[in-house]
Amino acid sequence: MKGKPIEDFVRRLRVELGEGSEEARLVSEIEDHLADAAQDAMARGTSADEAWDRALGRVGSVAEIVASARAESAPGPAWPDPRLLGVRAARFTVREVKMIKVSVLALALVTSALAALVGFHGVLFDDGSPIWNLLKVSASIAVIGVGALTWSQLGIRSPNPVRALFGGALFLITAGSAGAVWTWHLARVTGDFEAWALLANLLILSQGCLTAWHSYSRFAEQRS
Amino acid sequence: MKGEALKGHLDLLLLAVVREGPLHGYAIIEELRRRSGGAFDLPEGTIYPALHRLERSKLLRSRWQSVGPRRRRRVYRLTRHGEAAFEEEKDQWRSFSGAMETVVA
Repeated sequence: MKGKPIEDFVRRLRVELGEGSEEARLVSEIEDHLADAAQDAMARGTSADEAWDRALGRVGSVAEIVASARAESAPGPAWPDPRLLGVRAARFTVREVKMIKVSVLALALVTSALAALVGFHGVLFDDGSPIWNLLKVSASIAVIGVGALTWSQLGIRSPNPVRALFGGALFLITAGSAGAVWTWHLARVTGDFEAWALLANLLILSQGCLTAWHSYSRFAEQRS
Repeated sequence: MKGEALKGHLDLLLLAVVREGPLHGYAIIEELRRRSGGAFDLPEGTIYPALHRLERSKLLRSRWQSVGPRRRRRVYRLTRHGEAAFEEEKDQWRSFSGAMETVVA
């Protein structure tokens, strides 16, 4: 028999925590906990009243539980936990991070220049379909945009990387992979292998991977 | 050992206990007490929000399990990410405690 003190405790906890599925689950688990603790004590020969009192005494006050729930549910960083990707922040050396950063900046320059060339060529000289040219020009502008973002975040102001940079890196990985596969496919189908296009796309892919690695490692470093 | 001293290490302690196999909240707390010889003294109800946070971080997962006709318990188990996080935190703890020991001894 639970008794009034337990019922009062659970009711107050429910009121203080407020409504919500997470809060309801917490209350339910605390109720289960009290029942388990009381049963345990009774199994060891404690009287029912004393067992429930002892369980109530050990579970903590309503204020303590509510404070813990508030603290633990405080919003964390908007990034996912680096541990989810197996990132070990402590393993990155300062030299490694600096090397990757310089490579990312250099690649951003090279790929932006190539993208400008491709975009310029697509607008003025390419005799392909308008949609194909539009696609090339849009992709070129996006690559240049990510390059500018990279320099603004890592090269000039050098603050902590922003989420947009990670998004940009994902775009480069996608675009570089798609471009490389498409170039390879065209070479197989038409026999016309454009090595420069494959190289450009691989550079974009590398830039994307390194930018993602760098920004994520910086985040992991901050988290640790 | 009182709450404030424990809080910084709570994740590692909880992951270490759940790592041994699926357990419900009460059993986790009992196991923590048993293994520490009763030294770890936190208000028991404050452990659950920490378990929920670890679950939100995908380090634990849980589900209700029926116990008899009218009772059920939330049972927690470690995820693959939780296993990796445990190993990482354990390494960090060992370096930290080793360094402390060297200084204090």
